[in-house]
Amino acid sequence: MKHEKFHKVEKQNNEAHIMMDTAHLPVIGQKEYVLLSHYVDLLNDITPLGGLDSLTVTAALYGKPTEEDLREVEQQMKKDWDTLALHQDELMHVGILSSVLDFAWLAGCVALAVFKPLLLPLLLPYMVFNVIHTYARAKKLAVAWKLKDCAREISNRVKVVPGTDPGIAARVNRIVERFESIDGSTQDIYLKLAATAEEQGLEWVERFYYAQFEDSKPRRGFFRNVVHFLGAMFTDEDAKRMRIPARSVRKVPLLKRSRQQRSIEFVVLPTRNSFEIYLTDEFSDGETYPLSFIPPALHPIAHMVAETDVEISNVIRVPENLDVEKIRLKLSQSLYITTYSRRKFQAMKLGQLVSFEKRQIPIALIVIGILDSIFGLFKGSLFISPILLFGVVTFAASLLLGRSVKRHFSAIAQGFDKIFEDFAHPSLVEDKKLAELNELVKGAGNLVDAYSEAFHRAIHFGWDGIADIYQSKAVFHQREFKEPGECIMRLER
Amino acid sequence: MIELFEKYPLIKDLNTFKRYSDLEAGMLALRDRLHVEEVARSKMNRPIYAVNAGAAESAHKILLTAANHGREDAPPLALLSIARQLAQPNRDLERLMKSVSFILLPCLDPDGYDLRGVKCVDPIGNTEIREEYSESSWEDVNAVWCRADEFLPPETRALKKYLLELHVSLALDLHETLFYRPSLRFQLPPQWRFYPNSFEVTVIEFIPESQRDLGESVGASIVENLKRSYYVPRKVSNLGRFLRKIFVPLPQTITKGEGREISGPLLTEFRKGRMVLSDWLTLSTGIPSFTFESFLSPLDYRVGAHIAGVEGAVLAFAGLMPQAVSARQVKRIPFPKKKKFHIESAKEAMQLLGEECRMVVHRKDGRLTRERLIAWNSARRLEFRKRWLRSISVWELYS
Repeated sequence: MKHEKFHKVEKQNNEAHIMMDTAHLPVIGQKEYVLLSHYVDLLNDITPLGGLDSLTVTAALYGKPTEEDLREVEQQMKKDWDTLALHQDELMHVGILSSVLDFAWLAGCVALAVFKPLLLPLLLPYMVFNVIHTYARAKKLAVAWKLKDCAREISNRVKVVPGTDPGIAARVNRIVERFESIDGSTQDIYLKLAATAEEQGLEWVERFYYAQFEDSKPRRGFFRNVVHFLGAMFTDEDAKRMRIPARSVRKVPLLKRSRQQRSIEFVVLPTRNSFEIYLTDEFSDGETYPLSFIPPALHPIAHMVAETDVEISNVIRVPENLDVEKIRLKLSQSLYITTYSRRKFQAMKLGQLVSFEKRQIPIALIVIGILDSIFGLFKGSLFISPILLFGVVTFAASLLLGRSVKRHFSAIAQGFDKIFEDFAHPSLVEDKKLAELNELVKGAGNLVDAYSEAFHRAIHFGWDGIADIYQSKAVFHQREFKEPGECIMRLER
Repeated sequence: MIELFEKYPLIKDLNTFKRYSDLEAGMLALRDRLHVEEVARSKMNRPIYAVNAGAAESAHKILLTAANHGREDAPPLALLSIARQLAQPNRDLERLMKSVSFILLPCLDPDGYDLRGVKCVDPIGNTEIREEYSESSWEDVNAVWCRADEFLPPETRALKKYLLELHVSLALDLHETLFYRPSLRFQLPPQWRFYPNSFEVTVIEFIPESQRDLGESVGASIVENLKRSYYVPRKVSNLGRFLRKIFVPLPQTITKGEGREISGPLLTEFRKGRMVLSDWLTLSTGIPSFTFESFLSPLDYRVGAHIAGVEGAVLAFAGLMPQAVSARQVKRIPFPKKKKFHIESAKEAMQLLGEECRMVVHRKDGRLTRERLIAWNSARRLEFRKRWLRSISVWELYS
């Protein structure tokens, strides 16, 4: 397939403009956006830039999007670029430690192979894997800081607009129309769409639908999964695509002056007599993270707040016109206790866990080394095992690096405090979908039916987390159907 | 080829039956052609229907029940699909319906179906829909069929009475093993992507000694027909036998009351002698009865698996042997490096059979099993096989 570029980076007098094409594609019961270029290819074109005065980022969305779609995609896109920045952040802080330990293991294997060559066939696959993996990580590490900077700036400035190129529009629309016109099994539909995308020369749309197809196939066996996984690790596509600019370029921030602006969103869910407020990020489930990373239990914004100056606006999506002061009062009372303190705790815990986990291997080496020395002593001579020395050295290295990991996570924990302080002027936005839910449940006579209807409607919107809440409510309120008084004994006529 | 039912449902069509009211409308729409009757009412006043089809006076009756656990959404959809096909039978099915009658209860727990929950019963028969299966003294409704009537909820009592009066000869209760809440969209949680063998089918059979031959052939046929129609991981090899100790073998048939070893996470409860609907039917009427469980796949796949399982049972019950399928090679096409077998096959299939053709991924048993894709339209059925030397051979299937 010919590699077509679906993004453009223009620079003029220290002002740059990034344009990327995206498609809003249907999957069964849902819609998702897909970048038409690989994100690394896009970043490859941005990383050589630096010290800009201004930057605009536009994402052209194709596939007949509505106004609502544009808004949702923009929100999702900002979140995705922030998540990418978060991954780079974690890579920078944990990656060095992992690389040092991997390298130590490699050195250990080499030493073992020298003394016991018969072990080489056993050690070699691991050594090859280690070299490839460490090399890929080193490559990623080299550019991680710049990628983080770029991803944050994109997230900060991206605007999603309807696509105007008639050529691309026709190609994407062909796929959307195809989806609308066919019915079949999930396999059927996704395969046909992948084939259509290939015909249209949209490689990443094809890959997207092929992945959906793979997901709807019965799974492979265990060994196939292992092979698949190792294959993905050996041919690390992201690392392979990455181009590393010169050090002088990659250490310069993308923009000279940058003020990050983010919004934290809350939703107000209607019930019959009251409203319940939730943080929307609590509902962001189903995301996939690379296996080599620690799970990002943390809010991407907390990482940013810990490092730079961020202006946070709090957006509260409401089903109807509500008094903002009332919400603000209630929220500031409960927000810290329920949400941020928990996350702050998680952040600190995670810092300890990560640095502890990385110390397991050196500790095991030290124990083996001590045993080796003791057995040596039994044989009649006192000697200090090289394994013990090796263990002590790696333990010291992991302690040193582990400290920086811990410091990083505690900075994040403090970030949550800052976010909380910023909670001053929330703005209310009325939401059509929430209004629909409101109509269903407001003053409802039969709560079970109302809440189960709201449950089904939320699933229809693709709000799985919110659906869960309404399902629980429906299940809870079924007691209304009980006859007055609990039946304690049944007697047949 | 004997094909009683269409086993590959359409996903968008299935997604229109998410509420019980939709399912109900679907059943009531069949009233012109089939006998649809209300047999009980749920606690939240939703009607429970039975659909009767085939020879009314026949002594050969097959009972199909589903959604005993309301949150399991594929079985009722499978029975609705079967009911629709019984209303407009093909030639094979029409012939069969002259001697066999079908009684379908597509949804035993309509409240649970709407709330995506499980009906649980306390020791004296009060019920509540819960999000998960039984806990503490509340048992799930499928475990209370052997209780005395006094301790049953009214709808279960009515259903028991109705089922006993039917005098059926074979019973199949359809279930699913779900660890996630079924929603509109199927997506595996990321941590399960590396989970081995997740399309798993379990057939739990309870066969009285007097009906041993029939029961065993039906049990085997359920699994065989499923393997014919869908890709189910092949029978365990020597290595597999070892892995069987770690992972659940697929598909598995468990015969109760025979002392065979029962394994698998799902079946720990059966060791405790939990008596479910099919057990109660066998104990009280002496017929072979089966519980069929599908597992963790997209909705259309699960629904199709249930239909294939039911078809297998019906074929064995009626003593029909599916004819062997022959194949002849039509052509051979290369597929260059970096191209994917499935996409290339799909493109070729759409050229040969038209854009509206249907497709399914399949793998047959064999030492060196390779990927296959079967595509068909009303006139032809083609099989695309992956060859070692980056080529695809196209075979036409005919009986």
